[in-house]
Amino acid sequence: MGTSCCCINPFDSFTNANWIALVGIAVNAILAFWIVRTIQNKLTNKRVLKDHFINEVKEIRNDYKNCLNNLYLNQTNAKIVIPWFKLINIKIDDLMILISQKYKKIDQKALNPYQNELRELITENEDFIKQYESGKQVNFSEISRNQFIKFQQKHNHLFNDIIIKINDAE
Amino acid sequence: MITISVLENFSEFPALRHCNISDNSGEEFYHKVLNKVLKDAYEKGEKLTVNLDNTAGYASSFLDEAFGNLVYDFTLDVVKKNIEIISYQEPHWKDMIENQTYMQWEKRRKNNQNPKVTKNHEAWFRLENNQLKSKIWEHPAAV
Repeated sequence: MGTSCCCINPFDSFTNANWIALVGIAVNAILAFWIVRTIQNKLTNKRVLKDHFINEVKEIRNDYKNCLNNLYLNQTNAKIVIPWFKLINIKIDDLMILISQKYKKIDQKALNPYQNELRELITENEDFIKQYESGKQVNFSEISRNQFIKFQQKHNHLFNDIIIKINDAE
Repeated sequence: MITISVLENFSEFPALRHCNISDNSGEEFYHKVLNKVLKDAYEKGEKLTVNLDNTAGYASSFLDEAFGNLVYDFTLDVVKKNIEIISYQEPHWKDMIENQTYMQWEKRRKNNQNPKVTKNHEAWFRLENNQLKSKIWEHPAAV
């Protein structure tokens, strides 16, 4: 007596239409997997990088905020100012080269007023010059302080402009 | 080629414009270092390279006074042909000196607006009718 197979192969009864549907499901599954893995990863990476650059810009804004606060409060030693500007300028140059390469709409020299105009405003200031050699904290007159406030009012938007452009970039 | 650096030939801490407001001023750097080295380079027909890097930083007035006096004493043509500025750490300074300071001081030279000195210096070199002459060209203003 011969043995008979008790199992029925389900694919035996598959029509062409069934096969097409099955392939369609498989393709969709692979596509979904690829989207999640590749595109989502790409978006996440972009976001992480944007957040990193935005934080760096915020940090520089804070450095300037502290610098200007110290000027208003007469807590700035004249001889510290020039080295401070050199260090922050190198930091900004490094950052802005990367940002302008990554996000084409951002000008590498966008923070130029803070890097150069502000330094000139301080080091050419009459109070600063008169008290430079004293090695003590500089007492700025009301006129000088007003100049610093005007500078800040005029250029404070620059940091937000960069942050918005980074955030809006493709 | 003659090469000098502000750090090695002058100071790690360059300060402000004139000698009467700060030590290590641009005026002092010009009279102690820059005038003589450009005179040497000019006589030998060599290029002078001035390296601005590795100091503690600059005020624009220091550089303006030092390189501006060069233009006043040697003319814009000679300075442009004979000087190479290196400023990798702060490229802004090279731009400022070459595009602003040089032009402003050449204009000043043509208008005979003498440079200000705030202390007595030894004789220094100036080109007059293409001849190098050494003398004390300016004196501090009497207070």
